[in-house]
Amino acid sequence: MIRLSILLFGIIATFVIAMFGLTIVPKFFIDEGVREPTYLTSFEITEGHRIFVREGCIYCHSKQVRPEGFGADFERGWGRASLPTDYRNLLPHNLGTMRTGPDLANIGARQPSRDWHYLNLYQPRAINEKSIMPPFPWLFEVYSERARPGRDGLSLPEQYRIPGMKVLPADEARYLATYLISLVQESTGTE
Amino acid sequence: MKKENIKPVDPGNNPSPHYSVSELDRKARFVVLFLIMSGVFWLLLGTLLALLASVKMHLPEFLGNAGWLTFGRVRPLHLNTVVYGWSSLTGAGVALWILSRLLKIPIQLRGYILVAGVIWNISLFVGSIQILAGFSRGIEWLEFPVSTMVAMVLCVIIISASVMQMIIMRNVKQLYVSVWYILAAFLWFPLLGLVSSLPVFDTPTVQAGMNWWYAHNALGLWFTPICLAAAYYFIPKVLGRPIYSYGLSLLGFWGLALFYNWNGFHHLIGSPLPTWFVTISISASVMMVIPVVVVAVNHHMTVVGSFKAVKYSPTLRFVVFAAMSYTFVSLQGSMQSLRSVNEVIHFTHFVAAHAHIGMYAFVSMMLFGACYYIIPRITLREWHSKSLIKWHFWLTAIGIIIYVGALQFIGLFQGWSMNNPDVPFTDTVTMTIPYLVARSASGILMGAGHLIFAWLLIKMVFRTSEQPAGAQVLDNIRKEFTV
Amino acid sequence: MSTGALILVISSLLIIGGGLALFLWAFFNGQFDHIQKGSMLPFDEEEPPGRRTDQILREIEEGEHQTRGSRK
Ligand code: HEC
Repeated sequence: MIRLSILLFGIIATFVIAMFGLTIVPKFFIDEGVREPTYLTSFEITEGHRIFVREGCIYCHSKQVRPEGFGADFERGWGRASLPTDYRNLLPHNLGTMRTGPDLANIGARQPSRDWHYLNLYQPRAINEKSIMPPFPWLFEVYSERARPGRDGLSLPEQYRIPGMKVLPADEARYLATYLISLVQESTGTE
Repeated sequence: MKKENIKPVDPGNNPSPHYSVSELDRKARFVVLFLIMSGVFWLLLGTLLALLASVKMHLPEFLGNAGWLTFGRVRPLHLNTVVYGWSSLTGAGVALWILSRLLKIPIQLRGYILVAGVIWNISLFVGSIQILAGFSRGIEWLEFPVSTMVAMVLCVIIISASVMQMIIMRNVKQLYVSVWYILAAFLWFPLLGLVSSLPVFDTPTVQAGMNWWYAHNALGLWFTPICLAAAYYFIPKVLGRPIYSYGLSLLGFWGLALFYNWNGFHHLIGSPLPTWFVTISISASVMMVIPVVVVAVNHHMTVVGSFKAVKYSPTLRFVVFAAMSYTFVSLQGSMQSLRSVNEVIHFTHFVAAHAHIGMYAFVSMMLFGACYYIIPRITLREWHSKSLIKWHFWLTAIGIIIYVGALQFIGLFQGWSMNNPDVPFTDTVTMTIPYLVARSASGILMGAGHLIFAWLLIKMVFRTSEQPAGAQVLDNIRKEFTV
Repeated sequence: MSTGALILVISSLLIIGGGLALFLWAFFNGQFDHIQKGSMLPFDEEEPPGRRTDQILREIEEGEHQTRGSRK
C-alpha cells in the first residue's frame, strides 16, 4: 500500500508540477501585458476570424513570424517577430504549425486589396495557377449577369468564368476579407 | 542476466490465484471486444478521411465545392477520429485486458464501461458532425467542441475508476511495470482533458501554450504509456523470456513521467512565447533521450537472438516494429527540438511525417500487435487466414515507411528553401507535390492493410455459430450487467 | 518578474531535493534489493516462462502441420 501511494503521488506530482510550469506560470507572465484592449475589433473582424477557424486555414497557414535571423521570415517580407500583443485576443489562437502557404500574421500589409482576397478565396488558381490552396466558392454567390446592376462580379480568368453569370462575394467572404486585411502588425515591435 | 537464467515463479508473488487465465479472458471478452471493434470502426473512417485530405492536398479541386469536405475540416477530423476513436478506444481495451491478466482479476465495472463506451462513440459521432459542419474549436488536437471533449473525458474517467478498482482488489502482491504505465495513463489523460477544457486560457499566446502542452502530452502521457505497457507485456509473453532488466524499466518510467510532461513548448520555438519558456521544453526534450534509450536497450536486449520468434508471431512482428519506431521517433523528436534543426523543419511536412511515426508506426502498430494476441484468447478462436496477417503487416509497414521517407526527405528541402529568401515561395509548394502524391499512394497501402485487419476481425468475431450474432450480443450485454 | 523567478527557482530546488530524498530513502530502505524479481510478474503456473506463444506463422513457413495455435 505504501508503494502504491508513492506511485500515485509520483504520477500526480510530476504531472501537476509540469502543468503549472507550462500553463499557469506563462499565464501570469503573459496575460498582464495582453489584457488591455489595444485594438478595435469590429463585428466583421470577429466573424471573419470565426470563418477563418471554421474553414481550417490554420492547417496550411501559420500566423506567427519568427524573429529576424531565425529562418527567413523577415527577409520574405512576412513582418517582424510576432509579439503576444499582436493578437487581437480573438480565440482560438491561430499561431499554427504549418506553412503549406505563406505566413499570414501580416497579410493585411502585403495584400490590402479586397478584390485580391476575393479572387484568391474564390479560386486561388486564378492568381497563381500552381497554388494548392483549396477554393472556397461557398463564401460567394453566383448571379445572372443582369442581376444586381452596378456591381461587378469577380474578374476571373476565362477558364473559371461561368457563362452568363457573375460571382459576387457573400457576407462571409466580406467578413473574411476584412479580417485578413486587418492582420497588420501595427506597433513597431520595440517595446 | 543470462538468457537461461529463468527461475520458477516466486510463489510469494502470487498468493491467491483465484482466477484461471481462461476465466479472466472469458470475463474480459465482451468489453474488450466492444472497445477494440469500435476502435477499428473509427480507424476505417479515419483512414478514409486521411485519404481525402491527402488527395485534396495535391488535387485541390477534388470535391472542391463541398464546404463540409474542405481540406481544413477533413484534416482535423482525420486527426480526431484516429486519436480519440481508434487509438484511444482500442488502447483502452488493450490496457484493460493487460491489467486483468497482470492483476489476476476480472475487469471491474464492466457494465459501466460498456455504457461509457457507447457514450464515447456517440460523442465521437457528434463531434465529427460538429467539425464537418464548421463548429470546430479550432485548436489543433482539441478540435472537438468543449462539451464533446468533456463527455469523452468523463467516459475515460469511468474506465479509470475500473482501473483503480482492479488495482485495489488485485490478487497479486507486486505491480508489474505495465501496470504502472497504465495506471499513470488513466490518471494523466482525464486530468489533461479536463484542464485543457477549462476556460482560463483566454489570451492567444497562453492558449497556444496550453494547446501544445496538451497535444504533446496526449501522445506522451496517454498513448505512449499504454503502448509501452503493451510492449513490456507482450515481448516477454511471446518470447517466454522475462524482460532484460526490470530496474531499467522502472528508470524508464520515472524518466518519462519527469521529462515528457515538460516537452510541449518545443512546438512553439520561434513563436511569440517568451524564449525561456521554450528553452525549458527544449532541455526536457533532450532529457527524454534517457528514458527512451533505457526502454530501447531493455527491449532490444530482451528480443535479441530471437529473430525467428519475431518472424513467426504476428504480435511480435508488430510490437517489435512499433518499439523500434518508438526509439526512432523519440530520438528524432529530441533532435527536432534543437533550435538549429527546428529552424529548418518547423512549418514543413517533415513534422507531419514525424507525427505519423509516433501515432502510426509506434502507437497503431503496437495496438495491431496487441489485438493479434488478445483476440484469439478472448474469443477462443483462431485467426482466419495467416497469409492475410502477413499482408496486413507488410502493407502497413511499407506504407508508413514510404509516407515517412517521402515527406521527411522533401520536408528538409522545403525547410531549406523556405529559409532561403531567394527561392520564391511557390517553389516550396511545387517541389512537394510529387511527394504528396507518394503520400496518397502510401495511404492506399495502409488503408488496404486496415481493411484486411477489419475483415480478419469480423470473420473472427461474427463467425456463425448456432446462435445468431444479434442474440449473442444481447446475451452478452445482459451478462455484463448481472455480474 | 524577478520575485516570480525566485519562487520558481526555490520551488524547483525543493522538488529536486524531495525527489532525491525519496530516492535515497528507497535505496537504503532496500526497495531495490530484489528488483529483477519484478520481471517474472507476467508469468505464472499456467503460463510459465520458457515457453513461446503466438508462433502461428510458423507452419506456412516450414510446411508443418498446425501444431500450435496462437492460444497455446
Ligand atoms: C491546403 C492548404 C491551404 C489552405 C487550407 C488554405 N490555404 Fe491559403 N494558400 C495556400 C498556398 C499553398 C498558398 C500559396 C500559393 C503560392 O504562392 O504558391 C496560399 C496563399 C494564400 C494567401 C496569399 C498569401 C500571400 O502572402 O500572398 C492568402 C491570403 C491565403 N492563402 C489565405 C487563406 C485563407 C483565408 C484560407 C482559409 C479560408 C486559406 N488560405 C486556406 C494553401 C492553403
